[in-house]
Amino acid sequence: MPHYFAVVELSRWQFAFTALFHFLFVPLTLGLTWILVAMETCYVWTNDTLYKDMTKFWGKLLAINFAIGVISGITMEFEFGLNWAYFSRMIGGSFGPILAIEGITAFMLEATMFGLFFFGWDKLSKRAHWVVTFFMAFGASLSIVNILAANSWMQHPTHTQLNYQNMSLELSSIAGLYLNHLAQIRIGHVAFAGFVVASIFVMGISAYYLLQNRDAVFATRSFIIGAGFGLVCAAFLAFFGDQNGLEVAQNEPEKMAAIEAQWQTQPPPVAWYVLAWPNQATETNGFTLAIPYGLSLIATHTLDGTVEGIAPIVEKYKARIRDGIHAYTALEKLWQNPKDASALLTYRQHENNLGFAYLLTPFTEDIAHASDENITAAAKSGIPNVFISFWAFRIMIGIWMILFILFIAGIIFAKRGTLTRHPFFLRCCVWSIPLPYLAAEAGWVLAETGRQPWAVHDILPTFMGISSLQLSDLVTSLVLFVLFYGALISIELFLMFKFARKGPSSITEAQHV
Amino acid sequence: MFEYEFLKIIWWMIIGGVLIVYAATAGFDVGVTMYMPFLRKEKDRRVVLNTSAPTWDGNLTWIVFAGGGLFVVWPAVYSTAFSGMYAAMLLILFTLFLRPPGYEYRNKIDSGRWRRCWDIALFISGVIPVFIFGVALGNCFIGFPFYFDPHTYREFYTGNLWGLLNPYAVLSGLISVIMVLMHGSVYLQRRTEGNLRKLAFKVHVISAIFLLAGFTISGIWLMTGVSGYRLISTAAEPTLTPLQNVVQAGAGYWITSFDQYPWKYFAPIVAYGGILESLWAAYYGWCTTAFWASCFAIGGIIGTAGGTLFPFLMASSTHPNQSLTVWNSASSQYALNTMLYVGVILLVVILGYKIFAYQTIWGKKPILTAEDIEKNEHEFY
Repeated sequence: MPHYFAVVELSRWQFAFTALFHFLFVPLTLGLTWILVAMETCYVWTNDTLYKDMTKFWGKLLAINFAIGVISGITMEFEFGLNWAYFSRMIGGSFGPILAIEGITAFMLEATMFGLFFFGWDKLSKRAHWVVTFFMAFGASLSIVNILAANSWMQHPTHTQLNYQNMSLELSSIAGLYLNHLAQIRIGHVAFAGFVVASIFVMGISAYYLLQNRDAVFATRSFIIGAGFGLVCAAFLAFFGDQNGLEVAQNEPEKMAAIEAQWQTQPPPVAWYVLAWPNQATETNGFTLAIPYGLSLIATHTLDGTVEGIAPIVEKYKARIRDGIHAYTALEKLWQNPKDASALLTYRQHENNLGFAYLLTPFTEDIAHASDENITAAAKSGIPNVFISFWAFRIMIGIWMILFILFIAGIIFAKRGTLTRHPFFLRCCVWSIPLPYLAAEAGWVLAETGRQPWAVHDILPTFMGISSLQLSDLVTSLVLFVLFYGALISIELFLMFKFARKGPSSITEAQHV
Repeated sequence: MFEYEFLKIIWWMIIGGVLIVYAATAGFDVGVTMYMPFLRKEKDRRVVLNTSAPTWDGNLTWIVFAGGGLFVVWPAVYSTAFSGMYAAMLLILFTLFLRPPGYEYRNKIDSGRWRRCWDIALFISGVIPVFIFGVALGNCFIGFPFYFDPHTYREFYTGNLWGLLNPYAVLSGLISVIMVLMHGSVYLQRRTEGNLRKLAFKVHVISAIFLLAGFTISGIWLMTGVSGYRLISTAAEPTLTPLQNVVQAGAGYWITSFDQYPWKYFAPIVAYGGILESLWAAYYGWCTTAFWASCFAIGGIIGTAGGTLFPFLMASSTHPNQSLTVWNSASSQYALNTMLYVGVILLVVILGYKIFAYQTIWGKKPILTAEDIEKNEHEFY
């Protein structure tokens, strides 16, 4: 298999590219639909048609966003089978149900209501239309519930057992996947991240109108809804983010160590590196700026807690790999003779570490007789990329702080009625529109590169999951994805800018001055 | 928990049913957008587009249901089909990309050239995926060149895109395209009036004749030309272990399987009946009856294909004994059982709000005219 690992790399790049692309459109849909519900609630409540126009105008921007969200979403569903056939075959019965439920409940509801939202204004009563908008938002959010339950299962596979007879992961409780602690926390975290994206989107575009001195009433009210919604959501976002950190420290210590660039376990209280230049080859940090006591507080919420370092984790991995080799050799015996009782007994004793034996695949052909060097190399490959994890986390946190300040300032200025007297602040709001997107993408990168080398944590290494494809297949498809997505996003941005600039007058004849 | 064998059969029926619903709903969307590049007046094009615009999104979503269903119920089929037919699946995907922007963006810019481009994009994004789905289904009769590693069950596919384009499969792809064109024409008669309706009736008659001919030829071809497969025995209670089949290959086996399972005769009867009934009803102007008859015709045609293949899902042409069947491709009993409860409840809920959606859009006024669009210029696509 000369090109095997090249195919692995390209499959990963393709998945990352298409998933990150999809995740540019998801958060806005997620948040904007609820903002539409808020606006339409105001309309139903007050009968003020300005709120109806607001709903229609922001709805139009939603439609432009939604079109690309749909196609990039269908790509994701195809891609498990296209590029990760072995993974799909193995996990169809465990991860598959949640993905299917997502399609059946969330996507279906969202897409059907989406049509009614746009075409139902004259055909439905005011309240019935509100219900449609509500279910559109509800559908979008259900989607994130299921996707995050599925992804959290990959990070922390509960209620699952590998059946060696057909090499598939079998599920013992589907409810368990939703009741998974990690899943629930991450659902909150990602949902609120989406709400924040949409809040800044509405705030930023409204600020643009205020700067241009047009549609003042429309823009101010939209701005206030965006800022208020945003502040609340940013607070919850931080809460769930913090809880997520605690869960990660518990379930994925190697990810935590990578995020914080902890090469050794340090005695408490541990300082938090605000900045550092981690170097995975030498296992040191080139440069650090630290806040004393910080890490103990962040990671354990105590002063006497610590974060397990990478070096001791690697030592543990070596032991697990050695143990896994027993399971691996027992499995080979079972393949030769399925009735071999002693092999089955050995397999059962060590099966929890079978995945670690597979980590040896890139380093030796003969896993059963791996050398100490092979085992050390494989154990080190079990640590995610420290540099990426470290910086992705800090980008996320840094952007959150900027946005939080913007929300607070926005509410203060709006309350005083002095928004238009702070053009610099308004300009900041406009230029901040891309920031939450960047933070959301960083969050995805952190979650997914932080899980490497595993596709299913501690069970299935990513490199085993690929389809049996040729290198040329992957090169062609990746190039085509880049070209198609490039063209689509150009058209999308062009229309988005065009309609955002046109403003609310594009949907109604009357100008709101 | 339900019996494992029962679950396997009921899921075969549900997935087949979902595929039929997908073809019968997204099918008319594809059918009407096939008209777009060929209509001379922009007014007509907008009427045609807007007959499907309010619900196309929800209709397309059935493909996600079908894909998700495949993933959970038959992981081996999902992974073998998608990775094996890599180029074909990507072709479906890339052409499908043009569809949502075609609907959402076409009307966002008031320029003739911009709109004509999206008309062609909508045509391509409808026809190519439907053609390829048909080709893939045709190849299910021929068999696919794949095999599994005997221990890890990793799948290997030894064919390529050109191998899929054999004459029988191409015929099957063409039948699919003609089928959705007929269905779209029936739908258009139901939702429009005047010249558009007359045009749609003509296209309906022509496409129905071609469909009858194509469907019949493909049946005769199966009887005489195509080498079929017959399942002699399978492992006891197999779960995702496709290696212990005994399969025979031979000419005409697909049709002789009708003697083994006489229920297979029902589907083609429904197909012929549905097509003829839709013609008859359309001739008298009973557009709703014609539409439902056409839905039954689609159900009959897909049912005939799926039924004829039963119990095979994907036969292996190079290693027939490793063929994927209804019996050996399914997930664990727990997964099938749980998903059955979830799926049935959700299907009822979906049916409820789908009816609500169609009722809202078409309940008061089942016909869309150019005047309607002029009145609400900003809201229509």
